[in-house]
Amino acid sequence: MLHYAGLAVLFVVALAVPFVFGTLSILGSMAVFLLLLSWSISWRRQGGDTLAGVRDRSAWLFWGMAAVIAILIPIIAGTSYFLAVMVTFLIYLSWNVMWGLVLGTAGLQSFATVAVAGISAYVAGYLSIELGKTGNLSCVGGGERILGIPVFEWWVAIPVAVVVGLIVGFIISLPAIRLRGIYFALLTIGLVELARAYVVQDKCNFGGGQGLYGASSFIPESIAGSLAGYQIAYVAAAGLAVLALIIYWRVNYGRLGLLLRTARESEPVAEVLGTDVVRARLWVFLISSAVLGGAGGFYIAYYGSISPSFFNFSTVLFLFAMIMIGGINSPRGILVGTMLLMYVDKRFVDVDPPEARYVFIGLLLFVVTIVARDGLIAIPDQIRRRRGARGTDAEGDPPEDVGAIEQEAHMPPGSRPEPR
Amino acid sequence: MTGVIVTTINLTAIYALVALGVSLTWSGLGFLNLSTGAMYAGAAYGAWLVATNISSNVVVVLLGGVIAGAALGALICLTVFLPLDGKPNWELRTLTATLALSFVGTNIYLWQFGPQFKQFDPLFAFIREFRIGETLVQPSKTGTVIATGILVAIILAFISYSRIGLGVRALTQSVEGAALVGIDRRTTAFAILGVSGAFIGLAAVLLGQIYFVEPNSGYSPMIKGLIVALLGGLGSLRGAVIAAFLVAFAEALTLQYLGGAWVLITLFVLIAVVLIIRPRGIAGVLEGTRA
Repeated sequence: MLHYAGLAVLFVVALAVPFVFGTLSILGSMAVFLLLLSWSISWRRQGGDTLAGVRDRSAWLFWGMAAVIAILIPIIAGTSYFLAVMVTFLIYLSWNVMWGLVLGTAGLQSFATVAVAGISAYVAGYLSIELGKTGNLSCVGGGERILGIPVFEWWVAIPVAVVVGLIVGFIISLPAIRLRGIYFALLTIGLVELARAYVVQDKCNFGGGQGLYGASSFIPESIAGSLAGYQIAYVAAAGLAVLALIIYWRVNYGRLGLLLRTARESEPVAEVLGTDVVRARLWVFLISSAVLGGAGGFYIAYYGSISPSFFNFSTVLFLFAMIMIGGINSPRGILVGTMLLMYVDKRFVDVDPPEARYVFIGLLLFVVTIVARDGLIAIPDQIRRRRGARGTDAEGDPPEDVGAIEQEAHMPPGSRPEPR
Repeated sequence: MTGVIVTTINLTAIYALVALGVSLTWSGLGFLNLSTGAMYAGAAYGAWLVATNISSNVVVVLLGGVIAGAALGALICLTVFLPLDGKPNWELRTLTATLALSFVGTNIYLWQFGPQFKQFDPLFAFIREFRIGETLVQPSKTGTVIATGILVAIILAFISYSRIGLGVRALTQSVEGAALVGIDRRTTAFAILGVSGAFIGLAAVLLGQIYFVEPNSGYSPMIKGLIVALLGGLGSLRGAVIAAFLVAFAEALTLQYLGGAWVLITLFVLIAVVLIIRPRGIAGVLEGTRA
């Protein structure tokens, strides 16, 4: 009971923070609160391990609080500016959650997230501008209508973006079946760069360096830019994030997630158990790409514009820092990491040398990576494992830095069994 | 066509340097150094500081770049390799840590030096330009090939004949074997990352003769160096040189017939095709027999 009382006090303190330090700080205070809440849940749990994909009994407490916070935010901090920040945050969250599925659950070192979302957004935006009403494209007719209705409104653009995401995901997953680890990482980093180089090239269809603008938006024109418009956007973005989380949940804690984690830990074991590893990886890639595509479509339907800087390496790095700081293997970690970095990014947006903010984010990512094996969220598990290594853990988890783990970590790629 | 060949030889030298740096780190220590780009820019700034403050003599400036690169390599060893060595989740964590450091480094350069381009004075002005057929061979290209040759010879001699070099070679062949004969991984790691850094530093100064130096100038050479290293088969030095030639040739052809904006696109198509056909690169067969 004392435990819950302590958490309640913490929550009240976190709620009071924005009244003292300004609306933006609610993002930071809630991130810290959720982190502490998750720590307390993990710490009190008997046995089990977030890393192994075991579901927490008290997970409902965490997600319940997250939902409460999501409802409280527009009430406490309902300015247009803050809601705009929140919409961006929720879009990032839905991308990061899907990235977590690929990078964490499946253990595929993919950096293609930004490419899939961006390409989908670009194609949806292009079609919306070309076939829809408005646009900045030089060589496009525009304004085609069927029976007097503009044919490419946002509600067509988003499903099309899902399909584009699926197609791009399928194309990327082909080499993923053969390439491992680092090789795949580089190929996907390259893909992002390739996408950027292409859209800069193609002035005619993708607007070149300027990008696209004037795509159809789901916010009615009459209230665009007003508080009501941002409130609609907030609710829609929250829906998107919840959808992404539900899909994450279904995959990660379902059969597919179990297969993928087994294959991640040991491919031979998974194969001996009769898992079709290739198929499982293909599936997770397709699922996450479809959602990423949809979220990309949401992006263009919210902003109405996109520029090649979307594909900048710094975007990839920023999102990567979010999930790595929070913890790649848990949806709670991804949520907390995304919140925390979003806050840092916005809070220090006008700090004097603007580079200082990035230096800080980089150092934060560096320190967390060195100290925590699996992000901030899994620190209780890490401590428990270390204790286990000293012989107090009944389950007898293997000690952290002994033999097998170390050896496997340093095996050159050739000495691993060749994937088919 | 002679123009393409001259460009190819010049670029081969530079890409081979970066790729050797990447490949050596991978085969010796088992991680991919994604802060290569920041090391590259750092070494270029180091050489630039030497050139403006101390002396613009060729040897001094080149040494400045090489030493700055080696020092940054040692820094990576100190901050990434030593703390993470033997820890779980090694592959992803080293990747993340080096990525984070490169982010930090790039922004520190931006902070300290600003976004303006820095330019070296021509280092190789004392070499006379000459013609092969109709193609003019600029002094910088001749100088690049000579300087690369000299550094690679020195480092090969170091790796072949010194005691630390022996340790480096043992470690690249077998981690367990090296441990059995009493080679200290942690000491050798400094040598490996220092040598990698020296290669990258030299490449930075040489390429600085053609392109300007700015905080992000390391990104493109890093991507190309990684492409070359992967194409050659990570860990294979011979494969890296062959792949450097292939990539340089593809780039020279693209520059000549399609234009500069297409270079990265051609390179990625090349790497995608090669990796899909041979997932372990050109020297993949060598890798396979090592297990």
